[in-house]
Amino acid sequence: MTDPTSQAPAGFEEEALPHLDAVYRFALRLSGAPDQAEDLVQETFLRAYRSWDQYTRGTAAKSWLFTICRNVFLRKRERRQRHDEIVEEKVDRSGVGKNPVNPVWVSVVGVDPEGDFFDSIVDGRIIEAIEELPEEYRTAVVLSDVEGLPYAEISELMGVPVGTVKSRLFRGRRRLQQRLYDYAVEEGYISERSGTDEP
Amino acid sequence: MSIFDRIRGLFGGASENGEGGDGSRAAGRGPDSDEMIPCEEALRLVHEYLDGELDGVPHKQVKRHFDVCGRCYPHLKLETSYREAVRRASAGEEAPPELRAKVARLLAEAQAED
Repeated sequence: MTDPTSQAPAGFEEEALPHLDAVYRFALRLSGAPDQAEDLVQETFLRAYRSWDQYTRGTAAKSWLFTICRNVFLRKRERRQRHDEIVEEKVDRSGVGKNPVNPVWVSVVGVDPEGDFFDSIVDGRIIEAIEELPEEYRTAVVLSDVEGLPYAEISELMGVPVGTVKSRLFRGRRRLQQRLYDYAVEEGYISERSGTDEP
Repeated sequence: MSIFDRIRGLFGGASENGEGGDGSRAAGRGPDSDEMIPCEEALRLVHEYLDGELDGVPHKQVKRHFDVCGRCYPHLKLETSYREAVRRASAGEEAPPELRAKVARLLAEAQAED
């Protein structure tokens, strides 16, 4: 049986297809459901294929595919709901300062100051906690912490300034860490105790 | 005005060792580039440091702080533990073989239409 992708336009097979797993992971985090993720991936690659001539060979193919994937996801979501998460971010912005001392660290300082409890949490629970984040935080956290994209690429992909990327990462990580800490306490991986030993 | 002066200004003239702490064992800050950054500044830069995205502060200066500061080091470790857990949780996720086949079919159909 011949591989149909071997007939894809020049470079598509070498540059785009190797990112199929990464795009699938990203689509899973965005949609939270395997069937929706599969639809997103198919639409992403079809759109990428059709607009391959607009892509500059040898540049950031993964980011380019992520951009298409997110745009498809946001369009689909827009049809279903209004921008409740953007409102949430505005509320969050007014309520959370950039205290350099991580509140989770303050909670664990007496029992686990280096955060070893994160190692005890099962993969499925971590994934669930990521998917509970508002989309703006979730996307930034996944692109940086899972996919390792630089701030500049995340900025371009999300269409926001680098400062906003940093802010979303800061708040997204804090929320995620707090959720994982709460879970670790609930499951008895760590005992709840307040610390005061802040630098 | 040095970058440190600007950052100190942003923090409203915070003490050299952060919020009243004394975790930094090399508390003195000379005029040379090897001077020690304060705890509060190190903590504010921890994400950019781990992301390799420091802007205006040399990587080695932040690294040096975490290397020698017994109070800030656990903060760095906590952020590292968090990142390792998030990466580990996503590491095994691969596209199902059926999806690969579907994408291949889709592209072949698109090719046939061209």
